[in-house]
Formats: sequence, C-alpha cells, structure tokens
Amino acid sequence: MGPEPIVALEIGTGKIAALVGEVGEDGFIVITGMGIHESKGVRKGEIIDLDTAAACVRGAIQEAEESGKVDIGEVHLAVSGGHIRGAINTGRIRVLGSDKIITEDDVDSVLDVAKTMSIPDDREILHTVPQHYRINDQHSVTNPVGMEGVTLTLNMLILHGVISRIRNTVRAVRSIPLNVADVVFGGLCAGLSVLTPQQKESGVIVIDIGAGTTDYVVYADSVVAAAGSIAVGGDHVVNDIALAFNIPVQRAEALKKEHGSAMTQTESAQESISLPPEVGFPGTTVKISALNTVINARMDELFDMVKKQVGEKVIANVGAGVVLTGGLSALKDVTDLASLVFGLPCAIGKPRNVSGLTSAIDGPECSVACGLIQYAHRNADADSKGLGGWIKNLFGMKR
Amino acid sequence: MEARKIVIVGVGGAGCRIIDALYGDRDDSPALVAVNTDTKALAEGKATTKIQIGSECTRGLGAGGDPEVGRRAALEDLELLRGLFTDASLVIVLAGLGGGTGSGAAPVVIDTARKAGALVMSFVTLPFDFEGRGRIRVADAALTEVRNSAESTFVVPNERLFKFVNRDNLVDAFAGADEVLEKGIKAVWRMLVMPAYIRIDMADLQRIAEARGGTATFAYGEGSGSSRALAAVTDLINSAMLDGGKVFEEADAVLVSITGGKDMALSEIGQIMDALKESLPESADVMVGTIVDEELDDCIGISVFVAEEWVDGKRDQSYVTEAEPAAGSGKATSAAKQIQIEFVPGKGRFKDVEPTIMNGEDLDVPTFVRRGISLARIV
Repeated sequence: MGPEPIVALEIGTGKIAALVGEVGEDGFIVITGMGIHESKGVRKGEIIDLDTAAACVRGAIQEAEESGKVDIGEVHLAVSGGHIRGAINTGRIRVLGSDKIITEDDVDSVLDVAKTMSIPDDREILHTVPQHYRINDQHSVTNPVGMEGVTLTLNMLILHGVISRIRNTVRAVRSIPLNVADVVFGGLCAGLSVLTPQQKESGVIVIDIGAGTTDYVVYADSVVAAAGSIAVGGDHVVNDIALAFNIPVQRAEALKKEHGSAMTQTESAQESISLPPEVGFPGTTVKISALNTVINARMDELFDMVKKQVGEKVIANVGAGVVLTGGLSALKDVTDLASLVFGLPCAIGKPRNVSGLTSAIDGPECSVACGLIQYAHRNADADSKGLGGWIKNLFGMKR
Repeated sequence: MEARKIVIVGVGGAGCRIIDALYGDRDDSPALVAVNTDTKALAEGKATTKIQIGSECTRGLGAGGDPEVGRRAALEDLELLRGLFTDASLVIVLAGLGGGTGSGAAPVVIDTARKAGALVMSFVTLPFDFEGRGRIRVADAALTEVRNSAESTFVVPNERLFKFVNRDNLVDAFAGADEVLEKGIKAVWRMLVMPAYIRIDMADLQRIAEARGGTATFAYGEGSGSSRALAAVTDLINSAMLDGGKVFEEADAVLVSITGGKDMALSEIGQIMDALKESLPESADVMVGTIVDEELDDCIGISVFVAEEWVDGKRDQSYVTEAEPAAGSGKATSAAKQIQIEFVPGKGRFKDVEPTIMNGEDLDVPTFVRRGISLARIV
C-alpha cells in the first residue's frame, strides 16, 4: 500500500465527487475523505463554462480536504462524454523464434501492433485494453508466453475521445490548481467498482446512467468486450417531462423522483398529481400514466441504443445480465425496463469492497469515483511491476 | 345544392384526432369516419363510424411507425373500406403523414374511394422538423403517393406553424397543427353545403389545388366587432400558414371563401376583397365565394386556399435539413436560415448546447415526440 492516499475526482453533469481513499492489502478501499458538490457549467458530461465548473471542483476538493484532513495536490480524473467511443483493433504478428515458442518479446510486439490504430486528428486514445490472445487464430489464451504457434493475434479495445473536450476538463482541474495524474473513462471505473469477478467471467453489461451521459462497459469472458458513452442521461428525462407538461424544470425533477417510473403499468398509474401554482407558473395536473409514458419512451430508447451499440454478437456472450449504476439507476422500475429491453436479468450495482465514510458507499452515485481509486491503485501496482503497458497516459502527465 | 353524400375520413392517429375535433359541432355534420390500426385509440374516438384495419397484421396495437405495416393493414381490410364509399360523391381524407398508419394506409383509402367513384380531396400534415429525419422521409414519400392518387391535396407543413405556437410547449404545437387542419376542413364543408351568395364548388377547389402542380395550402382568419371585416383580414394575413404573407406574395391562384352570419353586409365583402388584393400580386387569379352560416353571430371568417408549387419533398427547410442542403432556391435557403436562428423547437434546456445527433435524429428532442406518442390519449 502506498503511503499517500489516492484522490479520485469525477466531474459529472449533476454533481462533482472527490473521494480520498486508501487501498489495503486485502484490496478493500477505505474512504477517508469526501467532497460532493453540485455541478454547474457542465452539460452532457462536458464543460461548457470553465470558470463556473472550476469553482464547483474547488468546492468539492475543499470539502474532501477538510473531511479527509489532507492537502490535495494531485487527482485522478474520470471523464465521460458522448464523444468517447470504443473500437476493436486487431494486431497480428508472426512468432519470431525458429522454435516457434512465443516469448515476452513477441507479446510486446503484438501489443504494440494492436495498440496502433489510426483515428481522426482531433481525437486521442484514452485507453487501450487488451482482450484475448489467439495462437494461430484459434484458441484464446490469457498468457501465451511459452506456448508454440506460428502467429499471435491480439484484439485490443481502443477507447478514444475528442482531445479538446478532454483537455477542457483537465484545464478546469489544473486551474484549481491541481495536478492531474491520470485521465480515465468513467465507464471503466464504474465496471471496476460494482462488478464481482464472477460477473466479469460470465459476462455482464454495466450501464452507468448519470445526469448528462450514459456510459457503458461490457465484460465477456473476463475481458472488456465493449465500452462507450451516449450523451443522453437524467437531464433528458427531466427535460422531456418539463416540455411534455409545460412545467418548470425543478418541478419536473421532483415529479420524476417522487412519482415517475420507467414502466407505464404501475399501481399508481391511474392517479394524478396536482402541481400548485407559484410565481410565473399557473399550476397544472399531471397524470402519472402520462408521466410514466414520457419517461418510459426515453429510457426504452436509451437502453435500446446501448443494446445496438454493444451489438448482438457481444450480448450473446453476456450471461450474468445487466447492472445499472449512477444517479438515474434510482429511477423506479428502471431494472424492469432494462431487463425487458435486453432480455436479461438486471440489478442495481453499488460500489463493492469499500469501507469508511459510509455515505459514499450507500448508493450507486459514487460508483465511478470508487472505481477510479481502485483503478489508480491497480495501475500504480502495475507500473511498479513494469506491466503498465495497457494504460496510455494522456498528455504525458505521469509522475 | 343537390344532396350529395360527403364522407370525411380520418386515417391514423392524427387523422382521427381531427375527426374528434370536427365531431359534435352541429347536427348537420357529415359522416365522420375514423380508420386506425390502434384499437385503443379507435375505441376512445368520437367518430360516427369506426373502422379497425389490420387487426391481423398489427393485432390492434398500431403500425409502430412503419408505413408498410399501415399499407398492409389497409389492404387487409379493403372490403370494409369499400363499404364506406358506396354512393359517396365527395370523400375528404385527413391524415398526419410521418407515422405508420397515416402514411401507409391513407394512399390506399384514397385509392379505394376513387375507385368507388367519389371525388377525393386530401388534407394532410407534414411533421415538424424536430420529429426527426425518419418521420420526415416517411412523410415525403407518402405525400407523393397521396398527391398522385387524390384529385386535390391540401398540405399543412407543421414546421410553418412554429411561427405562432409556443415553441417550448409540444402539446400546444401539436394542438395548433390539428386546429389548422380542422378549420380548413370546416371551411371546405361549409363551402359545399351551406347557402351561399356566391357559390364556389368542388371544381373551383380542384382548380386551385391543381394550378401549381398538385398541392395547395390554406389559412383561416376571423374577426368580430365593429370593424370585423378588416380584423378578419389582419388575422388571416398574420396566420402562420401564410408564412408571414410570403405565400400570398408568390400566389398565382387563390380561392377566398368568406363566411358570415345573416348580418354580413355586401360592403364588408368588398372591404375584405380590397384588402386582400393589396397583398396579392396583380396577376393572381382570385375566386371568391360567400357563405351564410346562420349560427355565426357578429363574426366574419375568411378561408383562403392558395396553390403552391410542387417541389419534391415539399416542405419548409429548417435546421434539421440544413445539414444536407436540399436543392432549393436561394430564397428558400434564406428563409431557412431565419428559422434556424430564431427557433430551435422542442429542446428546452438543451437549446444552447451541441445537439446529440444519432442516425440523423436529434436525441435532445423528447423521445415521445419523435415516436409520435400522443400524451392526450393516455388514460
């Protein structure tokens, strides 16, 4: 365990979370400090007002410093946004040695080939995540060193995003000022935080539904099979409700929380909610069945988009079902709808293997930040053992 | 006028909604027929005759936005449709194009009515741009079919209505579109059945509809009080359907129908026509009819039908289509620019942020709108 605690910072559209944590020998995270601040100047996971967003980050960091009794100088940063895409790149090499026994050098070179992918100029690779090695294009192995083969193939999941948008987020953090140790896709963090090893092995889809974006990551056979982000989230649900019933956004938010359901046929569907008038709002009555229809259409579409992006082939390898996390996973009956759309069992995922300040681990809102601590810890470990090749650091900001 | 059998048929969700709006207005109403694939929507409607089509291929659940399903549904129940048009001399078909039933079944209904020997007028709406490119494409294809089979086609491009409806309230936007269509149909029906000073008949309407190649638009204005004639003209000219008077400026054939109570004076008709001619090009061919509606009191209504040039995929261009500029005149493009700057409809808090576009659909626009779900129908 490192002497210094890890600080995870997630700049979300709805809230900003800063968690201070230490990882014990047993792999458990102990949260020693936390700051949660409302987020402003962020839409759909991307910063649209740098100064306002930076002020909110400062608030969260200060709170985390006070509660954790630490001075924070460096953070690990989780990013999201509809611009983040995942693609599979395949690397294939001929095994060099005359005896055709695969060596560490062969593995390194196939890693290098698989990592190289041409992406548009305005994009930068965030992560390269190796999947399985295949020898002679046949059986999959996790460690091919010492085996015999003519060719060695590796599929690499490459996550990339628009440079300027990622830099905007980094810029906001640096203006605090804080050093950014690492930039990590939030969807990967959510997966690390909420999944059990068994789920990863049998195959699982993790969907992190935030206020501004929906990130997903799919594990199949213990590797990350697909990942991506869609710039649709809880804000869209609220906006749909506000437009459908011509009511203020705050009222729409409250309606969603208190009465809304992702399913249309609910016990209270026949009831109506009356919204009393206030200044600038004449008051109205909303039928719960209509409210649920608005929510159901949006969520159905969202899950359907995730399903299409992940693709049937990958979903066929998902045995453990769907895990929902993030703020909007608190929406009533949302697991029922996801289960219906994917044709798989669905549950809510909360951060695992975490102790300490309990409010951070009570709900699914801090899955990303908790996962980020785990990621940073694992990555530091890997670095020290010289196996850090699967993380590409952005902007050369390594310590 | 000879007793002619007029049948008004609403096809699909939007068409049936307008049938409901027409219903119960007065006892001399013509036959109102609702044709739909959606059992539930049909059951709740007010039409005097209800025809469910495609109960086998849709199981009463609607066409799911697929015009091919709508078409098959209509073909499945062709016999039921045929029965509607026995002895009918005029059939008015109403449909919202863009969805499955309206776009797919309306051309079949029109064709069936024509084969039964009736004259067919169609009144159709085209989707708002924010409803997404998918629905727009479906509507454009359906309009071509409708135009080819009906004698005359009157079109309400919903996007035009954005100039006067509350853009942040979708319920208002759709209700506004329905209302325009409802007024147009009522005007036609009055023209054809009510006592008139100056008679206009079906042949005149048809002439307008065909003058510029097959489609026409219409608008309505009304006024009351001491200067009701001029008030009605102002109301008419300001109406969204005339596109800020642009439709008048380019008109070459116009049919004006003035409706008043028994107290309507000839001088008022003169006033109206003088005022209208000021906004119309001198060369325009103008026809006038006047109708006395005894139920009207202290109120004058003006309906105009204006021929419009047929362009493929006839619609006002605006922000959705701007990404792939359609072949249009410079004039149309500048109008589109204006619309884009002024209005980004139906997006609420996402108005100023980069839109989330996927497969040509703007995901910031509520899903229920893009899927064409009518909240008013939900019980």
